[in-house]
Amino acid sequence: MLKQFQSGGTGQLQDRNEGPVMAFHEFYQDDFRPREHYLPMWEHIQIAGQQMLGTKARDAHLALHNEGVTFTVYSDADEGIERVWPFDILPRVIPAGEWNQIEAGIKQRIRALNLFLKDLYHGQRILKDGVVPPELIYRGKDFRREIMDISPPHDIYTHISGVDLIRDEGGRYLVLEDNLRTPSGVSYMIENRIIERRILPEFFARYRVRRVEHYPDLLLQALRHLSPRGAESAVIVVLTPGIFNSAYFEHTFLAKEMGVELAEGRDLVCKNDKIYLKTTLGLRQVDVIYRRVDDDFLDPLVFRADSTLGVAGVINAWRAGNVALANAPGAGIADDKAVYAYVPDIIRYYLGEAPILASVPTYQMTDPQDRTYVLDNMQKMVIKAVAESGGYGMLMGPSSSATQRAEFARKIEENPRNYIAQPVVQISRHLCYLDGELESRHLDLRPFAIFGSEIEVVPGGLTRVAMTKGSLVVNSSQGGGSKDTWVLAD
Amino acid sequence: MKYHIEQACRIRFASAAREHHVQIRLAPWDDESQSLIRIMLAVEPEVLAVAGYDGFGNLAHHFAVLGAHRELRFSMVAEVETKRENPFDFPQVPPARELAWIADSLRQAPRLWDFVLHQGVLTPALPERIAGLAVPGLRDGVPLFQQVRDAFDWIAEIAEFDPAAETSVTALPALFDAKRGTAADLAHLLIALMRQWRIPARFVSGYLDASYFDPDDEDPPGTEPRPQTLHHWVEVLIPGGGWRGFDPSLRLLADATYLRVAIGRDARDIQALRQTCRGDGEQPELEQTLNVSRL
Repeated sequence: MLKQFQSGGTGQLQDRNEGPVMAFHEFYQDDFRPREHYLPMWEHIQIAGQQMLGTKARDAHLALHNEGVTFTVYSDADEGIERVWPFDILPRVIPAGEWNQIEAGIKQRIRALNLFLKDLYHGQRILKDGVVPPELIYRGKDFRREIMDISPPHDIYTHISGVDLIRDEGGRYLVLEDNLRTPSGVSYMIENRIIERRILPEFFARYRVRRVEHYPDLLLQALRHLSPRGAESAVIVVLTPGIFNSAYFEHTFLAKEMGVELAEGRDLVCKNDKIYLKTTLGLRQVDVIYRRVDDDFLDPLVFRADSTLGVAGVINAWRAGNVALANAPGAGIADDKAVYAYVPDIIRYYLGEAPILASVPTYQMTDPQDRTYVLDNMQKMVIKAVAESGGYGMLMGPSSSATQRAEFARKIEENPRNYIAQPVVQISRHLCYLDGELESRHLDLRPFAIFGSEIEVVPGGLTRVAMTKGSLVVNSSQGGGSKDTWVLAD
Repeated sequence: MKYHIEQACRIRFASAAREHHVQIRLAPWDDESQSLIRIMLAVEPEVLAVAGYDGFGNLAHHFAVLGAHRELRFSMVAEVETKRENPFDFPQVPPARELAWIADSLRQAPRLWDFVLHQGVLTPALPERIAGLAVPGLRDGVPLFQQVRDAFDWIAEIAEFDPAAETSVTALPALFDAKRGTAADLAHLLIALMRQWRIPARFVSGYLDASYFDPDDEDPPGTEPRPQTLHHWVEVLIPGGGWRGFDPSLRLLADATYLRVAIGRDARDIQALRQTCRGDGEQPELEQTLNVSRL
C-alpha cells in the first residue's frame, strides 16, 4: 500500500491512487520514502507547493498547443482525431547505473537481431540449426521473401529501433517489444525535453541530466553513413505517407531538424535503378531514404500493387545498391511478437552471450498445450496479434468482457500463428500531476537506438503513461500520455 | 531440344500516361533442366531495361518510360535448350522413406517451407469434400510421384481445362462452381492439395512446344493452330527426383517440351507483367503475341 505523499506545509499533496499492490513504484521506496534520485525533486516540490505544479502544468499544455505538438488517435468508427500531446510535468529519473545496464542490453539485442535478419534473408543458418522454427518465420506476415539475397549497405537492417521496456514487480527491466519497422515517438521525446527545460528549469538545476536533443544529428550522421555515393554528398529524404498519417508531425519534425527534404511517394521517381527527387531545378538523385511508409506500401511493383504511397522501382534501386533504405524492408519479422519469445536464443546463437535484458514469458498459440492453458486463463493474460503495434489487436484479460474474450478465443482458434499471450505484468508506476492532484499511474519506457557506424542508444526515451487510473495500456494511440525521461550523468 | 522464343507486347493508353514502370517475368530459367543460350529485350520508346533476380530466383526485367506516352512496346527474343527428355529418370526412394526425405530437404533448405505453408485465396486450405468428392489424403506405401499423377483424375472430375478461358486468375471456390478453369486455376488446385499433404509444391509459368496448340483430331480439317500463350503447371518436390513438373491441365508430366520461366508460391508471386503509371487511371489495352518454335 502506498503511503500518502505529504507536502511540506499545505497538506494538499497526496497520492490518492493506491493501485495494484504488486507494482513497483519508481518514485517511492518500500518504506514509502522517495527514492534517493527523486529526493532533490521532492524537496523542491515541498518548498514550492502544489500551486506551482498547477501553473507549470497549464504552461506546458499551452506551449504544446501553441507549437502544434499533436498526435492522432484512430478508432474503428471515426476518422483520426488530432489531439494536443498529453504530457505530465513530473519527469522520470533513471540513475546512471540503471541506464548502463539498459544501454548494454539494447545494444546487445540490436546487434543480435541484425545478424538474425541478415541470416534469415541469406543462408538461414539459424533455421537449419533448428534454433528458430522455420514455420514461425514462413508463416510470419512480415517475412518478405521478395527481398531474399539482397544485402543492404553495411548489412544493417534496423537503423532506427525503439525498444519498449517495462519494469516488473521487483523493479527489473524487461523487454516488452522490439519496434524495428518505423518506430515513432522520438519527436515527442525531444519536445518533452524542450518543454520541460522551459517549464521546470529549477528541477534541472538540481540534476545532471544527459542530453537527448542531439538525436536528429545522430540520425543524420547514421543516414549519411549509408549513402552509396559517400557521406559528404549524401542526398537524404524522409519519405512520409502524408498528412493523414498519425505520425506526420514526427516526419515533418525530423526532416526539419535534420535539414533534409520531406517527400511523399509522388515526389520521387525511379529511373534506371536510381531514385530521384523532383525539384524545380530538375531531378536530383537521392542516396538515402528514411522511409516512414510500411513495407506493404513501399513499392507497387513488388509489394501491394494498389499502393500510391510508395515509389515504383525503389526495391530494384535498393537491390542495385543505388539507394539505401532505413529501416530495411523485411526488418519487421524480427519484431514479430511470436519471434520475440526466441530473442534470448537468438542472442545466445549469434553472440554467444547471455541476454542482458530479460523478456516477458510468452505463450505461443501455435503450441497446443500453451493454447489450451491460455484459453482457460484468458482473464490473467494479455493477448496480442503478432504483427500489430500501437496497442491495436490486443486483449487485456483482466479488464476484458466475456464477449471480447469469446471473440479473441475464436480468432486464436482460427489463426493461432497470429497471436501470442503473456501473463499480465503489473508494470511499474510513477507519480503524475493530474487535475491538480498527485496520482500514481503505470508507465513504460521506449528508448531509441540508432545503428550507424556503431549502435548508439540515446540516453532517455519516451516514457509513456497510462493516464486512466489502474490501466496498464500506455500506447499513445490508446489515450496514453508521456513524461520527460532523465538519464543522470552519474 | 532447342527452342527459339519470340514474345511481343503492346500496351496502349486511351490518354497519355507518365511515369510508367513495367516489370516482366518472361525470361526462361537457366538451371540443370534447361539452359538459356541467349536473350534480347527491346523496348519502344527506347529506354534502358535492367535485369535482376527476384526473391524466388526468377530472372525479371524492368524498365520505365517517364515522359507522357500513349503506347509502349517491348519484345523479347530468347533461345533455350531443354534437357529433361525423360521425366521418370531419377533414383526412386522407397515409399516408406519418402516423408523422411521431404523432412530432410526442409531441414537443409528452409526456403522450401514457402511451398508447404503458403495458403491464400488462390491456394486455400481445402474442405473435406469438393463438389461432392472427397479430397484425397496421402496414402501409405504408394510412391508420391504416382499419387500426384493420380490427383490428375480427381482434378479432372472437379473442373475441366478450358484453353479458351480468360487467363485471369480466380479464387478456387469460383473454380468449383464453374467446373471449368484455366491452366493456372487447375495448377492452384493441385498445389492446394499438395500443401494439404504438407508436400512442397510450387506454381510454374512457362512456354510449351508449339505442337500443343495444334488443332485436335476433332477439329475440322484446315483449322488454324490456336494462338500460343503462356502456360501454367506445378512442380512438386519428389523424393529422389527433386522438383518435377506436373501439368494437371494437359494431364502430362513436364518434359523437354516444357520451358520454365518463373516459379512462385502461386500466380500472384510471378505475374508475367506488372506495371504502374500516373495518368487518368484507365486500364491500358494489352496485345500480346508469342511464338515458340523448335530449332
